[in-house]
Amino acid sequence: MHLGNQIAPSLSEHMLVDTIDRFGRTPSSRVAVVLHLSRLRPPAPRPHHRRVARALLQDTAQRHDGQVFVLRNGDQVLICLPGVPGAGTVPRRILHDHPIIGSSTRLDPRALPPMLIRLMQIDAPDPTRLTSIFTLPADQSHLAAYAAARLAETVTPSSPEDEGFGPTAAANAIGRAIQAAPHAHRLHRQTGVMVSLSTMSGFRQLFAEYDMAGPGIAATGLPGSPPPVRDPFLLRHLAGALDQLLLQTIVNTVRRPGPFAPGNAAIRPRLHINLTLAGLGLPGFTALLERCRNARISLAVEVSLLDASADPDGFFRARDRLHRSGVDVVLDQITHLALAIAAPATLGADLYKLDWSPRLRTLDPHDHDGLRRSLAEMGLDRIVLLGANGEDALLWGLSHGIRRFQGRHVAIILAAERVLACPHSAGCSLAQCADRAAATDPEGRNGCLNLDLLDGITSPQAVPPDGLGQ
Amino acid sequence: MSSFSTPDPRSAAGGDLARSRMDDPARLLTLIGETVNTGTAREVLWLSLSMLPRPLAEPHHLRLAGDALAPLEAADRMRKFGLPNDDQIVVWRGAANELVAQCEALVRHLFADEPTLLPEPDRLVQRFRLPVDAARMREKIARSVPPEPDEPSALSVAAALTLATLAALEDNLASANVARFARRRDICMCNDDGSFGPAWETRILSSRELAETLKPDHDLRADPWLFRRLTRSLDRRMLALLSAPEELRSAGPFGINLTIGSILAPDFLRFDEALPGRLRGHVVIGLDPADVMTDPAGFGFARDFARARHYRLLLRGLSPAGFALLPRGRSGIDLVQLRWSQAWADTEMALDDPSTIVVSGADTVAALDWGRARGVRLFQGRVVSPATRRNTGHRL
Repeated sequence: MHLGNQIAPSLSEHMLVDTIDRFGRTPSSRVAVVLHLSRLRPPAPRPHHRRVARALLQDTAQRHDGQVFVLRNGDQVLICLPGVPGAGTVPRRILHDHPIIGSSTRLDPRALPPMLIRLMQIDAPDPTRLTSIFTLPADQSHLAAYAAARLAETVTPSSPEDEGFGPTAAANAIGRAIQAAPHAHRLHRQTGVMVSLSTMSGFRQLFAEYDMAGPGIAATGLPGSPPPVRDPFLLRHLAGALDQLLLQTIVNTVRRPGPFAPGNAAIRPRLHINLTLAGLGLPGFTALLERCRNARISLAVEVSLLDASADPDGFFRARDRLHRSGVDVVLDQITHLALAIAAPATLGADLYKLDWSPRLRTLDPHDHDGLRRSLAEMGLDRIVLLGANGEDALLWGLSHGIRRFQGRHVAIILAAERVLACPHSAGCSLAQCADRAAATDPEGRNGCLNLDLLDGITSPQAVPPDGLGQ
Repeated sequence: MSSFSTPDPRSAAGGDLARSRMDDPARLLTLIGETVNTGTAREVLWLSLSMLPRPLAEPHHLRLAGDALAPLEAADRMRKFGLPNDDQIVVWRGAANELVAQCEALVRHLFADEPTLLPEPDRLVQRFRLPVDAARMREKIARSVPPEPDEPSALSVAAALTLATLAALEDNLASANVARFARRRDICMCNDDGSFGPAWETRILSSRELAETLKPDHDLRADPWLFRRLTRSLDRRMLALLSAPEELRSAGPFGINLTIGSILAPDFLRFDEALPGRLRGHVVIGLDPADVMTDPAGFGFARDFARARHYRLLLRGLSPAGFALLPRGRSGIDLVQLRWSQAWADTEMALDDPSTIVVSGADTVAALDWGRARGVRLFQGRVVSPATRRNTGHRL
């Protein structure tokens, strides 16, 4: 029931108020569990959060003569008879050691909050505030106040979320749209840097990375194109389908800012290119190897951790083949959540790209210990912190011993170094310089009068291509 | 596809007889290995009932033919084995020519009315001597075990799916009767005495047979990412099949392969609601490692939810590299399924907790030996589990 852009108080809120009032006037005891899904970090609560929470609460409600109220703000409230701790049995044979399942979980509503918190904690900024427990009639006034607030509050409806990951046909259409998109829209270039604290030489260019923006575009959509695709499986398929286009674009672009434009190759930063494992078997990759050899450009291939996980044996074969060709292998798109379940160091890559997330600053001690262990396994001198778009990422990385970075923030710092060194920079802003450096078509570099410096060809801080840049 | 419309009566004869044979190939292989290792002499009579033409292979024929071996039960240290292809093998110690002659006479008498259909007698009833004939017997055992129902055809030159063909296939799947593609694979537990018993059976939809029907000349697995996408649709249909009350009423412990997204979807909640309490703790959910890595946050949520509802989680199909990449201790998974290959024999990797390991693709005695030497007790594969022994038509 919508009123303009607000949701009117629903039957649930009214029924909750009435129910609390009724149990406040009866001597029989009830317990209320409030699950504050509205306190999850957006985009949560997602439909599956709501659905699973509802199922768990409903299950307890059925066992304890209770009722579940789903409120407009996403919160869910269970009011039921208190359970009998320790009564009954559950299949303990295989689950006895599970931290969130005790023998009374299904029997005592008070055992629900720890389980709900564990389920939702990844998306909860403060897990301790995710649930509340009230006992009726003792806590009647507190629960009534909560219910009254929910009844009175204004709730703005959120757009319904498509759970189907998008239809396959849409991926087909968007794949064609990406192929037809302008060169500058679909090809990305970023620079990786190394911070050298010991020599006080500041930031040095490590590599220039080229990747096809296809999956990113597919996930967000193009202006006027079909709806975005959210299915990660379809996105990986699109990435593979665009390998050939990326290789063709890189190899055949001989004018600047293409990597094979004429210039002083000896001091060029290393070329990084993002490919799937299947892409390494394309004729275009053989051509790229040849071009790099002729141009004396050092090459590294970046493979996503997801691709490597899907076929670790194939990754090993590809890695060994690339090493024999003098090509380094970079494991890309490693999230801290992936590190909680996987050990990427076992893949033996030359560099590991860790995705920056603000959540890295707020990990609990246990997760932080696990992260430190993973970083040590990979080797701090082999980690590039990806997505360093702000000072917080840079500081976090430096405080953890990471010296290699990639992202908008370090691109701005590099731009500052260029502006300082460039005699034609009087009218340039740092953002302009960074944008021009990231451009993959000549039009994106209009206004720059020192393209050698912009491309790192005459950068005073360029790192010779010696593997790790050391 | 003809196998679905005209089921082979050999399969229908299955039932208890088939169940009793479940671990016979492994037991026979073990016995052969023992005779080779110790040099112990044994006599063997091999009744190749698999050679019988279909008119002579009705259930009562097979039962009577098996009974024809009864005289040999008097032989010293006699042991009897049945293979998935219905062949019967008797192994004993010492001379028993008179008993063998009685058996041969009974078999001949049984099929006396059909001399033109009957195979050559010396091919129907063969004699072997262990350990001399160990290699020949191993070869016959390997041939007796049918391929897994979902193994790709060796002659397959099918085209890979494209986004367009996948979209069409998804549309077809929405209305197709997929029950006939439902298959079971046994996960067997090795008992202390070396025999095998069922631990649970994994319910799958045969993607190969499904492709042959809905998308002929296409290999659904050729593009792994599109196949994973397709599994979402297959999951929905499988969960709907399993949620039927008549299906769950008689079900024993079983496993089902699902994507993370499917565990969090309404279909799974409906299945969960329909699941009888006696099966809680006895349903194993198999996960694809790539799916787990696709969405680690979703995996964590699904894992804790599934375990809160008393499901066991299994990570499927790991090679040594995959096993090292996804340590069980980090992922919080209950069970890990290793996909047997020579790579496992070549690795020095330790299995920290063998009780959590399932060796799949155990099609050879080498796989079995490798696992058992490391304390593994759960196996899936042709040696321990003839998967086609129960082609159950429309039933799961």
